[in-house]
Amino acid sequence: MSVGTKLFSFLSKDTNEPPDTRDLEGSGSFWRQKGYKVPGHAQPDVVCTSPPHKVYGAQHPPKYVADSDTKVSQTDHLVAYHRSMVTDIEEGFNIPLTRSHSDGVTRPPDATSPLSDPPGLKFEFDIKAHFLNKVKHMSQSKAEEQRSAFRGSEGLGYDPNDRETAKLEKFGKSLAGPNTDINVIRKLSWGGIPAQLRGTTWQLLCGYLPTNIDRRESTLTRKRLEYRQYLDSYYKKNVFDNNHDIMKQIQVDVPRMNSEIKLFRQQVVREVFIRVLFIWSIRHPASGYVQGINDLLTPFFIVFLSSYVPADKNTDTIEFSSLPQCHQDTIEADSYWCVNHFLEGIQDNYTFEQPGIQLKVAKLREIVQRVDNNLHQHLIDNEIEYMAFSFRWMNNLLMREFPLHCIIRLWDTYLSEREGFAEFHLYTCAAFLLTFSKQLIAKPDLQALILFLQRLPTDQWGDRDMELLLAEAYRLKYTFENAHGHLKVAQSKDST
Amino acid sequence: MVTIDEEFDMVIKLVLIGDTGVGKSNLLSRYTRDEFNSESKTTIGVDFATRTIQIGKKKMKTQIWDTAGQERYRAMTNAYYRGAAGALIVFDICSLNSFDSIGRWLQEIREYGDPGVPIVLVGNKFDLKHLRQVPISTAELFAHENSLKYIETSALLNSNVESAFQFLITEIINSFSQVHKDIQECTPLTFEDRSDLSFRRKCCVIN
Repeated sequence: MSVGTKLFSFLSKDTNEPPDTRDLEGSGSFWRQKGYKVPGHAQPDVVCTSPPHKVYGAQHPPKYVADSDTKVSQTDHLVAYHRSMVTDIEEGFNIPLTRSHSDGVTRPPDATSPLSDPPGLKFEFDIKAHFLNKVKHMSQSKAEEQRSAFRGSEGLGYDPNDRETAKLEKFGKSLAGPNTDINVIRKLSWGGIPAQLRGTTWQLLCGYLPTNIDRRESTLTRKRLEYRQYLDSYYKKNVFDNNHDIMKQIQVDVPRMNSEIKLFRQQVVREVFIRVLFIWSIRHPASGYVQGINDLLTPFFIVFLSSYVPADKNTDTIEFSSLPQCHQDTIEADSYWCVNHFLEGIQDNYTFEQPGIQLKVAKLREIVQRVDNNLHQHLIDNEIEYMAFSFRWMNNLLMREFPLHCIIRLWDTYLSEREGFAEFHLYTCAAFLLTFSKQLIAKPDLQALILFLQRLPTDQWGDRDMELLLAEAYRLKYTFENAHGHLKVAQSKDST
Repeated sequence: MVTIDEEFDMVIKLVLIGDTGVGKSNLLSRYTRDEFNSESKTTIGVDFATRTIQIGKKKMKTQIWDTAGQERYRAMTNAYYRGAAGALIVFDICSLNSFDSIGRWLQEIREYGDPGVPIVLVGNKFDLKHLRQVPISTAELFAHENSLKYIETSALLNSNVESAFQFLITEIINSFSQVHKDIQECTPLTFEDRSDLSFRRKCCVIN
């Protein structure tokens, strides 16, 4: 069967059927329990009465709702991936590549100002020049890399570079204002954000950067000053004395993180982390500082830093102290506010007894039991508790399981999803476990299983692997979110 | 938990507990893989490692759960105390705080672990003698009062790490032998083979 035939047969199945909502009443299952709207908690029951109509941006996952009994094979993944690419290409070709952005407000960049916008922000004001420059200078190796990533689609009659540039154009147009439609940015970001625009886009998705372009500069100025004031108020001796344990813990933990990356060995970088974590902990006494939160600051720091790193320097190795002090301060303040926003959505992961994590691990178990009962049974037979391996996945949002560049790509999607870190993450974890189903089932005992689960082979993973993972997570989400009947079958089988 | 296995004569489950940053993970990596990493990442939840040892003619498998030390993780980690055949409670000799926590750890293991589970108290990082905050006599007195064995180790120098685990396993075997006479008193122990051998699951649970 040719790729084209597969594609056609796949499309014919794409009926957009709504998730099974039958028999939702009267179940006493975990999924049936009424929950309150607590940050980080799964949403309470909502009956899904209409099919999902969302169509995401580039490389969006398949929008079909598969029969919940069907485990999507690798072939299905690829077919879905082809399909998403074809849609993107079609969309991409409809966009004139030289669209004018002269209606955007142009602001003179002022790099010497302590509160000046990072280069990522400047981009939105000069999208056309940047875009043309990007096309001109796109390196041969990058182009080759993209070609190889899309080699499966050869013969479909498009150039991946066009797709990349079209995406950049769409982003640029949307970010340039005057009012950025956050829903458009969400759709575009789901499939990955171009590196040049990631800093700005993440700030928008975090609700830190206003959608109205006229309010951006004043808001950033105010927020960065506010962070300075926090430092003045909280980062001093008498506060340290009253919070000695927190400070000591952070000081012990920060040097232990990311030691494989040269940047994080620099004392000045460690001090940034210590300040941000301490201020956050003091201002959030319900959870305080919990180990793992330090890891979660890393992607924000790296992304915002990369906006200031000259093209000829590597973010992982740059001397942080070589940046102008005003840029260092800006990166620190922006990282604080964005990590602050994002932790608010998952705070119950870190409060007493960590209820957010307990809930998600229980849900993960139910999903795996339903989707891949052989794997579930194999884990249970070998006395593997889901908590033993997935606690870390939830607590550190998979940061210990993937290389940092994969995490950044993952977070593009999480930030674009409403409640992505609280909700979508659960389905990513399920998809992640299911990816290794065959290898896990081949493991003979508790020891082999746990050792494998503790260090799953993701060292060589790249963006494309993450996108396949996200596509599967998306499929699971649309199969199970609000479709409690799907899990009920598994439970009744289990109880008999 | 001590179990009898078809391929192994015994499988022993151990837990490592103690405050964060006292060196539990490095004691484990030194014991199971002869590795030490001064910048090892903080343990989140639990980690797991095993080592096969030979005691006389008996082949034994130790399964060791290394737990996260931060207070917030207790609700999650104390589930691993249940069924453990023995525990190493670790503190840092350079941190009085970590020693002050020992009473709490002891209480936790006695509350959530099996009754009468053998425990060895470990004062780690004795390579940093110049920074010592906990005198040997204080630690020994505490151990004596609580019927624990006490040993000082350095995972960095690979000093006494073997002995700490050996102490614990000996105690476990001896208390097990009192019930099951077929296993002889087993000191001195000889430890060999760090490799991870596969073994079949079918085993009978003794306690």
